[in-house]
Amino acid sequence: MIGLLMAGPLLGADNTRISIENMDINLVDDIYRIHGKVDIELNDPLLGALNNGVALEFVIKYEIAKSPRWWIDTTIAEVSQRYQVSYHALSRQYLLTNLNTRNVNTFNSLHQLLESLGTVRDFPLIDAGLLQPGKDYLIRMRVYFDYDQLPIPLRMRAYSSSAWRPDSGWLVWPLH
Amino acid sequence: MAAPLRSFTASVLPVVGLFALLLMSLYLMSDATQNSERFGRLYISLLFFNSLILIFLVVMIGMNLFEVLRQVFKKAPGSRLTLRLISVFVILALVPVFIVSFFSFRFLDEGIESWFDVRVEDSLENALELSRATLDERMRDYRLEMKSMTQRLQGVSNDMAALVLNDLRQETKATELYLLGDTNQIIASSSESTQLPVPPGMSQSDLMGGRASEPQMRLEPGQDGMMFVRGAAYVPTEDPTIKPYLLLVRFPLGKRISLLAQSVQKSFSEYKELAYLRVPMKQNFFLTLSLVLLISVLFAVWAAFFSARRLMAPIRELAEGTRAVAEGQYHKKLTVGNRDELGFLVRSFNEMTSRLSQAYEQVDLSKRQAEDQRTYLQTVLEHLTSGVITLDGEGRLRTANAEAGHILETAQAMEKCRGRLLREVANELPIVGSFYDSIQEPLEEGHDDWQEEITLFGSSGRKVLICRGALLPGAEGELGGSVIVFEDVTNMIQAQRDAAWGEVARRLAHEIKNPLTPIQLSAERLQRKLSKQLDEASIEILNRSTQTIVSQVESMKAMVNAFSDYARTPKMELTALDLNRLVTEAIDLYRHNPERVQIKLNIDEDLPKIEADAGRVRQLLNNLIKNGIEAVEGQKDGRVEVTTRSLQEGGGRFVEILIRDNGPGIPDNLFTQLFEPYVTGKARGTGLGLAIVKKVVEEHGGIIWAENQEEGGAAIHVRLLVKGMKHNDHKTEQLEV
Repeated sequence: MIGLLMAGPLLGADNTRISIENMDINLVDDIYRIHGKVDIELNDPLLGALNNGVALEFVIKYEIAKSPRWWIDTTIAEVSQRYQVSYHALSRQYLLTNLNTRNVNTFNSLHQLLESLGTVRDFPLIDAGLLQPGKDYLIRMRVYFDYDQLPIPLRMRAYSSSAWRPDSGWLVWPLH
Repeated sequence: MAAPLRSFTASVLPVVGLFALLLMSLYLMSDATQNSERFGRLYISLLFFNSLILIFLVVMIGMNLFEVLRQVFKKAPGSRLTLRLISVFVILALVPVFIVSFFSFRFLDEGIESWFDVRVEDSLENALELSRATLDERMRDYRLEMKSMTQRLQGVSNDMAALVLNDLRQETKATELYLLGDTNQIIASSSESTQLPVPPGMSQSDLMGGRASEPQMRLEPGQDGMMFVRGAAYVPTEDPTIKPYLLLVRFPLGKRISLLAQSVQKSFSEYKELAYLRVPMKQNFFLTLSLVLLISVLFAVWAAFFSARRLMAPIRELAEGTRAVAEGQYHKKLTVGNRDELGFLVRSFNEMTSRLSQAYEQVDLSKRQAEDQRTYLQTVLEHLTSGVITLDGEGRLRTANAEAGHILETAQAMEKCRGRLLREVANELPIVGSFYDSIQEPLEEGHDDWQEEITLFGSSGRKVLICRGALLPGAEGELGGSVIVFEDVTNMIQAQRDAAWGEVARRLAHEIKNPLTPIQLSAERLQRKLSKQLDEASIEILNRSTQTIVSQVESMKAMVNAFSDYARTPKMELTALDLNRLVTEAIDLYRHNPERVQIKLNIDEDLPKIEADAGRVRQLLNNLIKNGIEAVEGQKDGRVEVTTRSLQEGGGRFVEILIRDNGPGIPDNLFTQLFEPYVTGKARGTGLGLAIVKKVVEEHGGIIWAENQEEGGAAIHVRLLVKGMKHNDHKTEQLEV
């Protein structure tokens, strides 16, 4: 097992709405898996949009890169998980759709949904065989709200106000 | 034509291109505002692009405005008109744009607001409620089924559970059934699909709901638009130590109901979203419209600047050209632009300037020719030995050549007197006064082509001028003035006269003197020869006659000698003379004259010395005194008075000798030729006395004149210069030569 070496962010997230709390990276059966919790709180503008039928898209993005030399690092692998959060008025349920798998989960409350969204359970990152032994790598993770998927009128607001752009920022861990 | 074409393409085409690009981007943006899929993503970049154009236009307009204002400040030609034209263009462009934009914003606002209606919202809410009610009823049925299922499953062993579940699935409408143990492990399951049963996405809420005694039912949307009902209920176990099992069941909703419910949900959701997006959408529309309007306005303003400056270019050039012409640059040529009226104007301007420049060159040429002519005339006049004076119609002095100043002895003053009336000048300068008095008559009477001979008394003595005048041609309806040409002929006349009298004297000497000696000798021989043969009485007669002949011949010889004296002009020996002494000596010779004429002498003791030839002045005095004595000969109380005095007259200083007698005076017929040789009023005399006097006076630069006194008798004035003093004499015209 390769334990988590870094619990704190190297690059701080300036948005308090989404924060990556703590993550574990384990090597199980030659696959690096990540496990942890992302705290997501929706602020007023996004909550208002959601309750008025606007679907919100969140992206969890992972990147594996070689350790930087002369400030430049090379990304060798990239994984994105895209989720859509919507409100189903008829059933009074919140729907969480994994856009990668088209799998829909239904929740009675938004809190439960966000809990579920923020829970990363042994997500497979990369096959250890793809990495060259003895070299240093970095793992980056970022959770953000994809405002580009908002309807155009709201997108304009997102461009003008940071309240519409919750973002954890990149968190980087070294992988030995 | 190539250059204007190039400038046209260089200036207009980019503008048109930019405008087309602008229109296209604005169209795309408005399309993007309509939520179009195609341009949705472009919207932001278009917005950015248009904002860039906006800034570009603002900068362009700013630069243009700055340039125009700078021109106005510099008062460049045409700049004010440009500014006014731009203002008019801008106002013309702005007013309709503002009107249209006002109504556009109004319609936009009202139009978007009109999409949303409380009744529509209510009915959608109601439809949603209706759907819920319908679905709730269905769920109630399923709940009852769930209850019976839990009862059937009570007491069923784990091994049998799968069979029971299968039976239950067959008996009811359920499509999936799961029985979960206390640790959520699947005890048994039954599914309609042939695939392996997939564990349901379990969440905390399912279990929490399931803890209740009643089965919990929940409506869930599926992936393919279908809807189903999920139920959860606890199945109590026999063994109280074991937690109850959880039964999870999935009931399908009918396809029709599913679709209808989804449709209602979708409509409601979309309406809600639309209503929610209303405000930002309006803001977006306003933003887009504002941008479109702003860009249009700015473009119009820029176009106004552009067209105003293009329109003004030829006018500005014309203005500059006019200013240049006004400053005297007649060769100014403007570039001809379009073939419109302005082009015509420019062409006319060019034609005008070329004609002006031709005319100017002509005038210049004429001026130069006139100048040459004038210089030529000036040169000729300056080198003439005659004085030339021109007067204008009113008698003002226009020109006077150097010789005129020289003759009238006013070289410097003459220059200053130019433009003044000759009459006024005459009052200030005595010699000019004398001159003017002499020519006043023909001048004022306007004679054309007249001639006068006048005599002036100048600093160098008497001057005789031959003066000719003519009228000058004048401009239309104006007096032309006159030109006066005069020549100093004093020396010429003197020379002529001297020559004439020299000739007379020579002839006299030759023709008269030569026979005199033979006559005398013959007479004396006659006396000698005949005296021996004649008687006493005859001898007496002979002797007396011979004596008469001899004495008369002697007398004639004396006369001939006098003529010789007159003709002879020996060199003058000028010395400083005391005139008083000479006069006294001369009078002493005649003091005891046989006629007992009384001679009176009045001497001015302060008489200055004069430069003169003593012998000649003595002769002059002798002749004059003798002449005076002869005038009163035979009178009882014959009296001659000689006066000397010093005079300061007309700026000149001279001495005067005045000889007066109380004789009969000068006969009128003699007056005009009193001083001519061989003119005499006496029985005896050669007639050369006064001629010699005059000659001597003239040789000394003096003046002499005679007059009859009121109380009777003649008076002869002789004025001689005191050397170094200038003389002018008003009375010179009294002199009769």
